[in-house]
Amino acid sequence: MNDSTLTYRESDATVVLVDDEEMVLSSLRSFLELETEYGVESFTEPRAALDWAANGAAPDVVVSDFLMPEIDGIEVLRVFAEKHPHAPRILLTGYADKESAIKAINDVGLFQYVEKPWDNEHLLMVLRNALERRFLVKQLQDKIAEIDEARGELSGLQKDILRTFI
Amino acid sequence: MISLRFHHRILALPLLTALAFLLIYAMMNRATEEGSRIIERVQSEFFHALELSHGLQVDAMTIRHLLTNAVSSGNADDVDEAARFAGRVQVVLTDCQGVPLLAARLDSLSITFDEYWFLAHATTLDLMDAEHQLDVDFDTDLLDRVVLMNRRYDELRTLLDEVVAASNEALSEAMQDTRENIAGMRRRLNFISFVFITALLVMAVAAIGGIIRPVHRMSRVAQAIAGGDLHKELDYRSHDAFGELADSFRDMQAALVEDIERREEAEADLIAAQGQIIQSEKMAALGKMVAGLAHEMNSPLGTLISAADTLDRGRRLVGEKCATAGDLEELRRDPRFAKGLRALEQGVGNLTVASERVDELVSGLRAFSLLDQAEYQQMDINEGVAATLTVVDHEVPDEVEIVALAGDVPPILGYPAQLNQMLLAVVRHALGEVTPPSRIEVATAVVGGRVHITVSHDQRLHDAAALAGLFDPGFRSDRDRVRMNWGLVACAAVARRHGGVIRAESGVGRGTIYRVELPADATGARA
Repeated sequence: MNDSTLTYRESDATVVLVDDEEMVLSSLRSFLELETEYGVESFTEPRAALDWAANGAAPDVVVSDFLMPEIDGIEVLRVFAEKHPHAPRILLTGYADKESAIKAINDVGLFQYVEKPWDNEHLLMVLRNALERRFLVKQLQDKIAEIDEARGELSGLQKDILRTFI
Repeated sequence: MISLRFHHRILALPLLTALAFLLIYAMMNRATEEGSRIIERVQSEFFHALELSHGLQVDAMTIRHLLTNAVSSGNADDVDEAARFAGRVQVVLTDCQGVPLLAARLDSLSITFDEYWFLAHATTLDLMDAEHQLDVDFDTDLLDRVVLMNRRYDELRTLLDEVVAASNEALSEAMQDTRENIAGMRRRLNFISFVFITALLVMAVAAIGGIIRPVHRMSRVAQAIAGGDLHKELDYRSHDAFGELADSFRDMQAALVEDIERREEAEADLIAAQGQIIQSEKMAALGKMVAGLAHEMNSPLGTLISAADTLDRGRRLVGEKCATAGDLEELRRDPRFAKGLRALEQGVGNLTVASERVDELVSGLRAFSLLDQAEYQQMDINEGVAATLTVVDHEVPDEVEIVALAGDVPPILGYPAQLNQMLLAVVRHALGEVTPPSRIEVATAVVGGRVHITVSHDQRLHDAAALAGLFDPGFRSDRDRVRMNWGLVACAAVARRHGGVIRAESGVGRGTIYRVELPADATGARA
């Protein structure tokens, strides 16, 4: 899917999947592998995902289940939001509980709430939108950094010129 | 009598007694007076008459004796003495006029005495003269007079005897009358006493009956009420104190019935409210279960849908590549074709796993709802334990030992399939929660007439709240994932169905014990 309108290359995108059901991860992996070039990192244990996030990894979008042993999906997404605030967060859950949805949106700045059973096409669209946003923000940040750098250079030049004349 | 007020009836008893006493006293008094009167009459009349008549008899005899002496001794003093007696007799006769018994005979007695006295007095004087003359022969005239005189004396005696006899007879009659009178009096007294005692008895019986009857009826009704017949009627009505008591009793009964009806109503409301609470609790449990079911279902369902979609996409991609490829080598080198093939392979794997999960869920649901109606029969629980351990054997991780400690337990009546499933679920649950290395013991024993099956391990895992929630429908997490709490909820249902119970205990140094208690003869089981 080499859409010319894309602001990023799919192979540059890293998608993180967290679900205690291996079959869910497996089917998602299989689908994404077929349809996209994304790099996929999947975890059945939330703690492993958090460890991964803490060790210098760079996720671009995080998809998590809600009900999991020990650590629930909201806690997982909250930790990711702290470590990687620019990576959009998606809750993929079969536990259709309004309260947990609202809590997730408010607490972790949720990008999207997707219910199980999910539709592949819909999930793919959500992921694309999230990544689009993620890379737009990234590009914006890059541009700002570039401008910042240029301004630094300019101010350096300015100083050199002043020094030369004084 | 019955219509009298009760206290009147009670008061009537001493009043009647007093009246009886007065009446009997009056009769006694009258009888005494009558007796005195009779005695007085006997004294005044009959004794007097008898005395007088006796006196007259004696005087008459004395006069004759004196006159005879005078004739034989010639002593004129005897004649004077006789005259004095005669005078006294006349006085006595005059007295006798006051005595009714004698009065009737008094005339003839006076005449006879006077005739006798004149004749005797004159004759005696003549005889004495004749004695003085000595030689004078008794003339016939004198003799005749003596004979006449004796005749008169006999007449007088006869009269006097008659008077005495009459007096005696009158006295006897009076005595007889008195006796009869006394006997009559006694009869009347007896009769009156009998009448009064009978009346008193009747009244006492009536009064006591008046007490006992209403009390007895009230007691019977009270017993009926105590026995549960709240509407038993007390059919006693009266204007007396017991009538009032009966009215109070009926008021009390009405109040009681009303109170009980109110309570029953309140109880019915309470039961209805409880029913609603139970219903809402059931609904809450059902909600929890459905939520759990949704969670459990949605993952495999999502996987199924996703995998089907991926398969379709893979199929299309592979088909496309096959149609457009020049030769097999080109196809083989095409990474997209390889991707499509991999997607097909993975999709099939995912479909299989997800379908197995759905199958497992449906089985769990079936066990949960106890839809499998296995035959109700006798079973050896130790055999069940052995079978369970065989089934679970391949699931036991390394470093976990599982042993059966079969006790001497009697066979129990129940649904073997359900009991085995219950055992399997408990053992699986224990397996799921231990961290190797560990040892799980499955023991059977008879404790207090009940068959105990315990599944225990040496690790403490649950706090009190978690223990309490073990048998509630909801979620639980074991080592790898959160899942619906099917097994132990169904276990509790199976134990209950067999008239038993399942408990869990967990404590430091004690490990965790799951104990199923079943009646030795599980006849409490519902068909």
